[in-house]
Order: sequence, then C-alpha cells, then structure tokens
Amino acid sequence: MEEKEEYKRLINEIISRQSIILGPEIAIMRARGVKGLTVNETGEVTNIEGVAKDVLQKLIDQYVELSGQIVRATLGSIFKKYPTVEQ
Amino acid sequence: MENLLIYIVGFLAGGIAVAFFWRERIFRYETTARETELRRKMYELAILKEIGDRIGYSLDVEKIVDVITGSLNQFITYSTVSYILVKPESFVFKIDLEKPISRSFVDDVRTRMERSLEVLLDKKISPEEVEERITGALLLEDTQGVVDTVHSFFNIPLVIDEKIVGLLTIADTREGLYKEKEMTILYKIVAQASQAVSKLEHVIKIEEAKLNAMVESLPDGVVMVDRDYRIMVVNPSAKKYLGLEHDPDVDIFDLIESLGGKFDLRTKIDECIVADTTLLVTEVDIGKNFFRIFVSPVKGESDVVHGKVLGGVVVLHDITAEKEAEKMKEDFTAMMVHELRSPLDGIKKMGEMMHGEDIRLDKKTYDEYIQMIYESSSAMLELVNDLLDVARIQTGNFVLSMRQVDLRKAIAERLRFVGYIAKDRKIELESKVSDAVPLEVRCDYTRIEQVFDNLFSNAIKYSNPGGKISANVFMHKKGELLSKEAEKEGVKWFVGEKKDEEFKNIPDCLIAAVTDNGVGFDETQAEKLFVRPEKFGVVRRNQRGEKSMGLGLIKIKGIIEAHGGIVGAVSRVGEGSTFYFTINI
Amino acid sequence: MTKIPKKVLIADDDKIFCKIFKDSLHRDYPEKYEVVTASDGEEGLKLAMEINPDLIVLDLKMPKMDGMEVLKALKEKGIVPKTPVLISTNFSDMEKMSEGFELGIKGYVVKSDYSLEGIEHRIADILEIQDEDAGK
Repeated sequence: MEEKEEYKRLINEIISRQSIILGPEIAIMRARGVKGLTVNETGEVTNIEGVAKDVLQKLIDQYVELSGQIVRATLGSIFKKYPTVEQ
Repeated sequence: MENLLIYIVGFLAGGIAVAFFWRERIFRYETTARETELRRKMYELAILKEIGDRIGYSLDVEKIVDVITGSLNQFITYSTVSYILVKPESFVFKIDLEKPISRSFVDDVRTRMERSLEVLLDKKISPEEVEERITGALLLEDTQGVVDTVHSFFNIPLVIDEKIVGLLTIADTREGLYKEKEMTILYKIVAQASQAVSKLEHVIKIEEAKLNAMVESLPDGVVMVDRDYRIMVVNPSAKKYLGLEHDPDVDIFDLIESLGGKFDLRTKIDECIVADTTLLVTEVDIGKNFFRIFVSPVKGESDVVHGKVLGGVVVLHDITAEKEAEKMKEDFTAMMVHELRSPLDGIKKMGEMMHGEDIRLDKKTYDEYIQMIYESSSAMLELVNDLLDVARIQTGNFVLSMRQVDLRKAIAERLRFVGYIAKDRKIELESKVSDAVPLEVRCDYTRIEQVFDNLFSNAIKYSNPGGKISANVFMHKKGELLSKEAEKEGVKWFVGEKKDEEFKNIPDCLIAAVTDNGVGFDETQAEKLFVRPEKFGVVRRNQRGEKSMGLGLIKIKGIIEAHGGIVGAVSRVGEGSTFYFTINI
Repeated sequence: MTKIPKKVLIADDDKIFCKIFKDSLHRDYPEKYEVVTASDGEEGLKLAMEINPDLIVLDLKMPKMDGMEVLKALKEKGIVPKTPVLISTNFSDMEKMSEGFELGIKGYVVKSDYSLEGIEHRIADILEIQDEDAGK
C-alpha cells in the first residue's frame, strides 16, 4: 500500500535523524520498542503492523519521553516533506 | 540395594542443592536489581538536591551539567563524558576522560556532538566557534599509535525553557555497553533537572519583570553601574532628570556629561563602596531642578556572591518642589515681618514725635497722630489675628462653637458696621434674605460674622465710588438648577449658570452671596484667591493701592469648609464680582 | 540770610511714615526743607523729574514701580548720581544694596533701625546742613 510505504519512508527518516541527535543505539532501541513497528539492526523499517498513524505517534512519543517536546521541532522539517501525513 | 538409596539420596540432595542454589540466584538477582534501582533513585535525588543547594539562584548551565557529570561514574561506566554548551556567541566543548584515550576518539565524539547540535539548532557550526577543554586522564596523541574508536555513545539534549542550551554525551570504546534502561534513566534525570531549572528561570523572569516594572515607574531616577562602570540599569525618570530621554543607549560618559561637574559620579561611587555605606548629597542642581542624591554600594546576597560588591546604585530624588515651597515660605515670612514691622516702626516714630512740648499744644496734629497710631495698631492686630487663624486652620486646630443664629440680624449688624466706610466712599449697601431661609440657622456666630465682615470689606475695597454692594441669602434644593433658584429670588449676581453643574448634586443648603460692581478680577485666577498666599508671595493691591495680605479669603475658606460648606468666586473684569458660600441645613 | 530751602522728595507707600517724617523735618529744621511726598514709584519718578529735588529718599517696595525700577530710570535720565539718593527700607535686602551702589546711591537706611532724628542727621550730613538747635 502506498500509504504504508510513505509512512515507512517517513519513519526511516525520523529514526535516522534521531540517530544523529541521540546516537544510533538509543534511537534504534527506542524504535524497536514500538509495538507494530519492525526495525532491523541498522535502523531500517521492515514492517508496519496496524494503523500506521498510531505507530508513528507511538514512535514520536518514545522520543519525546527521552528528550522532551523539542523532538517535535526537530522533526518539523521532515514532516514538511510528507504533506499527506498528519502532523 | 544400598547403592540405589545412595543414588536417590544423592539425587535428592543434589536436587535440593540445585533448588537452593537456583533460589539463591534468583533472590540475589532480584536484590541486585532492587539495589541498583535504589541506587539510581538515590542518584536522581542527590543530583536534584545538589543542584538546589550548590547553585541556588545562579542558573549557570555549566554548573548544572558539571554536577550531573561529576557523579555519573557512580553508576555508569564510560570512557569519556562530554558536553557542548551553547553560548551567545560561541560553543564550549568540554570532555572529561575517565581513562587515557586517543585524540581521534575525542575528535570523533566532538564531531558526532556537533552534528547532533547542527540538527537540533538547524544551523551550521564552524570549528572556530568551538572552544575546546579537555580534563581528566591523559590524552594520547595520535602519533603515539593508539587509536581508540567510539563504539558506544548516546547524546542527551539539554533543554531549558524550550531552548536548546547544550548537549551531554556519554561515549565508550566498547561496543553495546549501554542498556536502554540505563540510558533512559539518564535522559530522565537530565530532563528533570532541566525542568527544575526552567521553572526556576521562569520564576526569576517573572520576579525580574516585576522588579523592572517597579524600577521603570519609580518617580525617582535610578542608575546602577557595575564595577567597570557599565550601566546596568537606568530608568526613565533618571533619563528625564538628566535630559537623556531621547538617548537610547546611555553610557557612563553621557551621565557624567549631564551631571556637568555638579556631581562627581565615579568618585562618589568609589567612596561609598570603600566606606560600605550610603552617601547622601543634598541640593545638587541639574538643569533647572534640584535633587537629593543617594549613592549606595550594591552587594551580593546569595551564598555564591555573598558580600561581594557588584557595583553601585545612584538614586536621584527631585526636591525642586520642596525647595520652591521652602523659598516661598521664606519669602512669605519675610513679607509678613515687613508688614508688621513698618506700622510698628511708624508707631514708635510717632511716639518720638509726640514727646516734644509743642506737639501737645497743636491739638489738631496731636489728634491726627493718635488716630494714626490707632489705625496702625488695629491693622497689625487684625493681621496677627488672621495669621493665627490661618495657622490654626492649616494645622486643623480650628474648633467651631455652633449655635442657632439669626442670620438676618447678623447680616444687618455687619452691614451697619461697614456702613460708615461705605458711606465715606459713596458706596451703596443692600441686603435681601429670602423668606424661605429659616429664622435660625445652626453655625458658629463669631466665625460667620467674620466671613461677612471680610466679604463686605473686600467688596468695599474693590468697588469704585458710586458703586453698589448687595448681600443675598437664599435656599438651594438638591437637584435644582442654581441659576433658576437665584432668578426666582431676584438675585442679581455674576454666577449665572456657571455653577449649575457643580450644584446639581449638592444636598439642600443655604447660599449666601456678596456681589459688587467694582473692578472685578481675572476669573482664571479664581482658585488662587482662596489658596495660601505663600504660593504666590505677592501682596495684592486694589485700585487705590491699598494692600491686602490675602489671608482673609483663606480664613473664609477654612471657616466655611469647617462648616461642611463650599466657597467660590465669579467675576468679570471691570464689571464686578460675586463671592458666595454655602451653609448646610 | 535766607537760604533757599532744600527740596526733599520722599517716595514711600507708607503714608504714615511720609507724614511724620515731613512733620519732623519741618519741626526740627524749620524753613530748611521743602518736603514733597509720593506714595508710589510712578508718582515718585514724575515728581523727581518735575521738581528737581536736592535729595531723594526712596523706598524699595512700592506699588506701580518699585524703588529699584525708579532708581534705574533716574540713572538713565542722568538725575542720579547727580542727585543724592538715600534708600530707605525695612527690608534687609543686601543684594539690592550693592546694585543700588552700582547705580550711584549715596547710602541707605533701614527705617526700623533708626530714630527719626537719626534719619534726619543722615540727610543733614548729605546736604551739609547745620542743625538749627545745636544742643538738641
């Protein structure tokens, strides 16, 4: 499904950005902790299960838990590239 | 058979032993886990407490981060711990080596941190902007052949008040060292500390704003400088007093120039700091105004800066009005003294004149002199009485003795009293008291007499020969138009409709008015008539050159206001005036 | 030996002072003085120009024109310092005194500090007139 592919790409970008910001290990660890999201060791999304929007939200929540609301600001520019996805 | 038994027992024993062993392990594992958890919790608490204690109100992010990193090795292992702080114009990269590490490791950590910050701040960081500080164990230069690589690391952004102020990084040469749990706890600790600091900063910002608002609106001028004489505070009042209102950036040289040598700012600040006391300089004139200037040292209060001198503060208190009032009082007093001294001297000289034999023989001149002595002493006595009354009014020691007074009789008597002078000057007197006015009115007889006396003699003073003075008394009802009421009574006066608005809401009362058709006065100056003469320091004279001290009207005002009434005056220059007052019924 | 009486102009708003001083001069120095009085500055200036007095006794505080203004006008018209001026006042106005001396007054007298006799002596000194009754 197109939509899922979009989300996959979006999430990939998020994870890679967070890897730079927080460090790859913690970024990937957090992503892997999200229910419905399958991420490999290099940080790439291999599968999304369930409602993609919810999964995205949970992922963001994971990062917010670590470094606070500032996450949203830093992800802003990524979201701009995916206008179809709800912020 | 015994063999089987031994096997069974042995097996059982083994089983039990294993069971015990297992339980031990689990138990120990659980304890260890709880212990670790406890230790972590303690660490969290300790950090927060230390932040609270050590830092107090100094929100130095560097200190906070130092406190955190200083205690880190208690529960997490690492090769290096480092942070980058975002300063206004630069970055500070500080790295602490837990063990000897190679230069390439340090550079790698730095690079990763810079990249992370670039994403967070959304701007490029150039190496010149970053100040590097390395502490702790030995730094091994790459030439020594050791190359350490970063294999485990994580960054914790430092956010205060929703702004990125820095980044904290833990790094190690070993791989996969950090468990999610450990890392998460650290993030939490930093987040909590940041929140506490943010809250504190917020509170401080509010308090600062309050303080600023207060200082901004102080009528006194406030200037604060630090030890290098840089201006830290200069409020609008200060700018106004020093004529620097339009200068957006006031510096110490502007101030010194404005003070123009009248006040040595720098010397005074130095002095007060050395003496550790507030200095007071009185009566400094700047421009057209006079100031009292206070200079005080500014000292730190909190533990960190206790007793340390941070600078000086100068307060400019405007005493121009005070000085003017002082001067006017002096002038007025001098004038009063003069007014009393002249007639007294006159009497003394007349006494001198009357010594000779011949003067007693010249009856005409003798009588003249006696009359002059009488007039002079009466005038002085009147003046002294007026002064005493006015003084009493001003200090509130004015006591009325109220009784029922027949106003018609009182007015008739006062008119008779001034009748002689009026006749002499060819001035006609008349009075009309409305039927609606009660037979008796409650007031202080003597004082009201004085009021009428004063109004009549003033009217006479300012009238021309052939003029007419009328006294009118009538009633006012609340809500009624004064002009209509006067018209109904046939009162001819200068008030017209001017006071209708003012009198609309005044409760029922009696109105008494004395109208003359003499020289009149400038109505815009009306309010000055009833005010303390020292405000204007002028002895008034009428068209004949006769002097008046202006105390009479003040006295009238005092008397009428003590009765709860109001006084007023209306006039047209060259046509005449009406002075009126009210008495409550 | 009939000498021409000296014309003395007294400008003072204190009518009592004017009267007694005039009477006193006439009594103590009969026929030596002709006294003219003015009760305000304007009148004083006018009379000064009209009668050309030998001495002016000038009060500082007067209506219409005060003593200093009159003095300045007299200086402009050249009447002062030719005509001696004695400033009489009950105001201890020291600054005005120095201004007065600049303009050419002969002296000043604080009325309440002097007896009538004292002021008369000052005038006599200035005009170099002898007392009629030496043993007064």
